[in-house]
Amino acid sequence: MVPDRGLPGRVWGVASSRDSFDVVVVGAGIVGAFCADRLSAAGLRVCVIDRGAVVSGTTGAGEGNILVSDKEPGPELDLALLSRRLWFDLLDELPEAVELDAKGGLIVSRTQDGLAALVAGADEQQAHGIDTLVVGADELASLEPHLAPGLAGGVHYPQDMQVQPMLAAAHLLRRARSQGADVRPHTELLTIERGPDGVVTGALTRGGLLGCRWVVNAAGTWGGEVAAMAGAPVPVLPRRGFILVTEPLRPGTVRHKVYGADYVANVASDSAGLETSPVVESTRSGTVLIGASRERVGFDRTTSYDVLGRLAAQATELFPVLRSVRAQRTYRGFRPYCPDHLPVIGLDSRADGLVHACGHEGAGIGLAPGTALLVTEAITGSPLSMPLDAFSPLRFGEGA
Amino acid sequence: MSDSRHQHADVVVIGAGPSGLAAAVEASVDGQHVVLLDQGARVGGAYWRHSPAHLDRTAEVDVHHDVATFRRLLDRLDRVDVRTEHTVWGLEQLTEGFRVRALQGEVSRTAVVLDAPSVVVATGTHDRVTPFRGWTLPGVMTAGGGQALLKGTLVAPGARVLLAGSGPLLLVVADGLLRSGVDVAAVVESGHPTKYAVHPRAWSGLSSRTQEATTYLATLARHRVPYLAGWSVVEAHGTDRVDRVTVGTRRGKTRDFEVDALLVSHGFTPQLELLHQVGPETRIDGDGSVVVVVDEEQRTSVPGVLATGEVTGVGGASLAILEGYVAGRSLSRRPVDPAVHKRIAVHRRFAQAMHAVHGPRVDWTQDLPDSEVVCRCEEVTAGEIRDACRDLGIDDARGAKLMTRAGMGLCQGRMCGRAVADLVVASTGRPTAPLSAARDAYRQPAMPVPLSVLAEESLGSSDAAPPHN
Amino acid sequence: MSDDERPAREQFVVHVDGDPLTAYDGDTIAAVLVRDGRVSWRRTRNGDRPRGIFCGIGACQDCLVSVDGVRGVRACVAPAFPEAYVSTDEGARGE
Repeated sequence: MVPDRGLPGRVWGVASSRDSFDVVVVGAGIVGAFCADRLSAAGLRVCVIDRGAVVSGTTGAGEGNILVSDKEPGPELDLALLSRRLWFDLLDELPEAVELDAKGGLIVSRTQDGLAALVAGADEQQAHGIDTLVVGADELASLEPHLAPGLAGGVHYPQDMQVQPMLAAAHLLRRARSQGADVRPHTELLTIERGPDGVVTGALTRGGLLGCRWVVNAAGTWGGEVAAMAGAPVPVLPRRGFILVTEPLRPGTVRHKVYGADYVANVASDSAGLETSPVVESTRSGTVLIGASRERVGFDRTTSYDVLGRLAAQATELFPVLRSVRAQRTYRGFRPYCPDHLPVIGLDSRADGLVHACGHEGAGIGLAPGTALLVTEAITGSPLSMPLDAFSPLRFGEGA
Repeated sequence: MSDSRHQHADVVVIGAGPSGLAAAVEASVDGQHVVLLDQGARVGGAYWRHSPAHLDRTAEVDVHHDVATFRRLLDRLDRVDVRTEHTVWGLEQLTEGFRVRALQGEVSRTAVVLDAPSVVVATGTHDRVTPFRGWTLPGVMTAGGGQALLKGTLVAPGARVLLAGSGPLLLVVADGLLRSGVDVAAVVESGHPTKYAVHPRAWSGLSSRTQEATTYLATLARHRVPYLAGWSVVEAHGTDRVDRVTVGTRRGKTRDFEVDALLVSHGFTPQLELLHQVGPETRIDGDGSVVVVVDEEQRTSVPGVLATGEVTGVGGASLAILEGYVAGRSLSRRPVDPAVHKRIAVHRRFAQAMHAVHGPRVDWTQDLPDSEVVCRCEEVTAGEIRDACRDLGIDDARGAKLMTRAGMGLCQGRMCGRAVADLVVASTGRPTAPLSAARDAYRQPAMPVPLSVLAEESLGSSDAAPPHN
Repeated sequence: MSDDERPAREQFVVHVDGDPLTAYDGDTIAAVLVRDGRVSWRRTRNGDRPRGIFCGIGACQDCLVSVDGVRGVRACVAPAFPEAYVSTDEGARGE
C-alpha cells in the first residue's frame, strides 16, 4: 500500500512548456477551485480543466450550505469541522463577495420522541465540538415566528452558514490564476495517460495533451467517469435533488435553515427511490429555498411534479404562511454520492498520480476546503491534517 | 389532485391570439373537444385587443388589423371550449399525451389541470427591448404595451408620446395613437427601411404590406410627425417618470423631445417557455430569436405538440393565422389547399427580409454605461455583468446569471435574457451557443405558482388513464 | 378618442389605496391606474425605484399590485372588477 504521501525527492515547479504542469485538476466546481487555489499557493504549476463553463456542475445547483448540524460524529464530521475553519480563511478576505450568511440552522421535531432523539444526537455532536442549543416548544417562535404551532421543539445550530458557492468558486479560481494557475473551461478530458510503470503522465483533452504528474479528480458527479479513465474506478453515482425558489418575501419571514428532524436520517438511507424531507431556508436576496429530495434516477433531467408537490406540501406544513407564496423557479442538481455516503479523497494506489476529491453528496460546499487541504498534503508529502482511511478509494472492494 | 380539477380534452390550444384562434376554430370543426386557453380576459391575444364596444362599431376603424377576420373567427368559436383568464405554467409530456397545468384567475389562482393527446402552443411574443440609459423610468414602456393599453381599454399611455426602436410595429402603434388623438412627437427607427429594396422578391405577393407602410407614413406626414430613420434613443431623462428623450445618430447628431411616454420596441422575443419544458427541436431565426422547428403541418419534433404563430418565427399576424389554420386542419384530419402553403412561404420570405433590416444595432452594448440596469427585476447593472466576465472568468449567459443574479427575478430572464447574452459576448468575444443555452434553460414553472397549488401535485398519481370526453 | 365617439360602457368603482376610481367594462387594473394619471405604483426591492407598466402583456412582472389581499398581481393582465380593493404596496420593504 502506498503511504499517504508524495514520492520523496520530487522537485516541483519545473514544468516549462505551456502544456506541461505539475497537477491537472479536473472540474472547475467548488472542490476543484479550492484545490487549484491551495495547490498553486503551494508553488505547484496547476491547470484546471472542465468540459463546461466554470461552475457548470453541481456547485451551481445547490444551496451553498456549510453545515455541521447534519453530520453525525465520525470522519465526515471531523472533515466538516476542519473545513469550516478553513472557510473562515477565505471569508475573512471576501465575506461580501461570497455573500456569507451566518444565519444558523434549526432542526425541529413534531413529536416528543423525535425531539428526544434529536437532543440525544445533539449531545453527541456537542461532545465532538459542535455548538448546539436545545429549543423548547415555547421558544421556537422567538427563533422562527412563522413556524407552524404545535411542534415539540428543536435544536439550534448557530454554526451553520450559507455562502454563494458560485461566487466563492469563481473568486478562488481567480486567486489561483493570480498564483500562476491556468484555468481552461470548455476543455473536456478524454483519458488519463499513464506510463509503462502505471504512473500518470498526462491528461489528454479535446484541446490536446496536458503533461502532468498528478491528476486531481474533482469532477463531482462525474468523478466515476474520470476515475475509470485511469483504470481506477470509484462508485460515484448521481442522486437527484430538486429545489423550489419562492418569490422574494419580506425579510424575516424565515430566518434560518429550518428542517425537519428526519433530514439527517434521509441522507444515510440506502433505499433506492424517492426520499424527501422538509427544508426551508431564507436567503439574502429575500427568496426562500425549499428542499430536499433525493432520488436515484441516473441523470434524468425531467421535472417530477410529484417531487415538487411533496416539497411544497412539506414546506407549507412547517410554515403555513407559505401556502399563498409562489414558487418562481425550480431547479435540480445531481449530488455525487458513494454507497456509504462518504466522499472519496486521497491518493489511489491503483493509479500512481491520481488523487480523488469527489463524491461529497450534498455537503460539497462545506467540505471543499478541507478536501483541498488534504489533497495538497497528499501531493506534497506533508503530514495529513486528518486520516484519510475512511475516504479511501479502495474501500469499496475490488471492481467497485 | 381531486378529480374535479383534473379534466380531459382532445386538443388544448395555449394562447388565443390570431394563430391560436385559427387553430382552435379549425380543430373544432369535426366535433373534437378543443379547449382554448388564454391568460387575458378576452380572446385576441396581443394583436386583437379591441374592447367589446370598439368591436361593435361598424365604422372601419381598424382596417389595418383586419378586424373582419377577427369577427369571422369569433363567430366560429361556438364549438370551442374557451377558457379565458387561464395562465398556463406547466406543460408535461406523459406516457401518453400531455398534461397542461394552469392557474385560473390572476387573483384567485385556482389550479386547473387538463390532459389531452394533442397540444397547440401559440404563445406569441413579447416585445424585445435592448437596454438604454433611463429605460427603467416610469413612462418608458414597450410599444406593444402602449398599444395594448390603447386598443384594449382606450387609455392613452401618455399625453405626448415618442416611439423608438426598430421594426414595423412602431409605425403601426404611431398610427393607432394618432387616430386616437394622442400627440406623437416622433417615430425613431434605428434601421434603414430603404434596405427593403435589397429584398425585392420578399415584397412580391405582399402588395398589401407596401400599401400599409405607405399609409402609415402618410398618416405621420399628415400629422407632421417626424420619422427619423437611422436614429435611436440615447437617453430617457426624468426623475420619477420620463419627461424628455434624447435621440441620436451613429455620427453623434442629437435631438431632444419633451414627452411623458416613450414607447420602445426593438423587435420581438418568441415566448418558448412552455415548449422548452418538453424539449422540441429549435433553431435560430433571422432576427436572432430562438424559435421552434415545425413541419408543414405545424408539428414540432415532439409528437403531439404543434406550434403556430410567432413561436415558429416572428412573421406577423397574417402568417400566424395561416399557420393556425394549417394546424387546426391537421388536427381535424382535413387537407390544406397548396395555395395556403404558398401564402405561408411568401409571408416567411417577407419576414426574413424584415429581420435583415430591423432589430437592435449589433453593437448596442457599446452605448450602455456600467451604471445602467440590465436585469430589471434584480436591478443588476451592465457593470456587474462586465465585471463578472472580466474578473470571474464568466463566458456564458448562464454563468452571468449565477454570478450576478441577472435573470433570477420574477420574470425569469424574459426581459433581460438576450441583453445579458449580448453583453457577455461583447465582454468576452466568445460567441454564444444560444440553442444549447435555450435547451438548458430549465424554466419550470413558466409563471409563478402558489405553493398550495404545487402541494396538490403530491397527492396525484402518475399518468392519467387515456383521455375521455 | 374623443368622448362623443366613445360608446357608453358599463362603469363601476375600484378602490385604489382607499381612493374610489372609476373603471369601465374591459379595463385591466393597469388601465384604471393609468387613466387616473399614475405612471408608477410600485417600488423595487433593492434600489427603491418606481415602476409601473413596462411590457404591458404580463411578461415583465413590473406592474404588480395587491388585489383583495392577494400579492403579486399583474395589473396589466388582471381585469378590474366592481369593488376590487387594490393596494400599491408591492415593493422594497414589503413582500
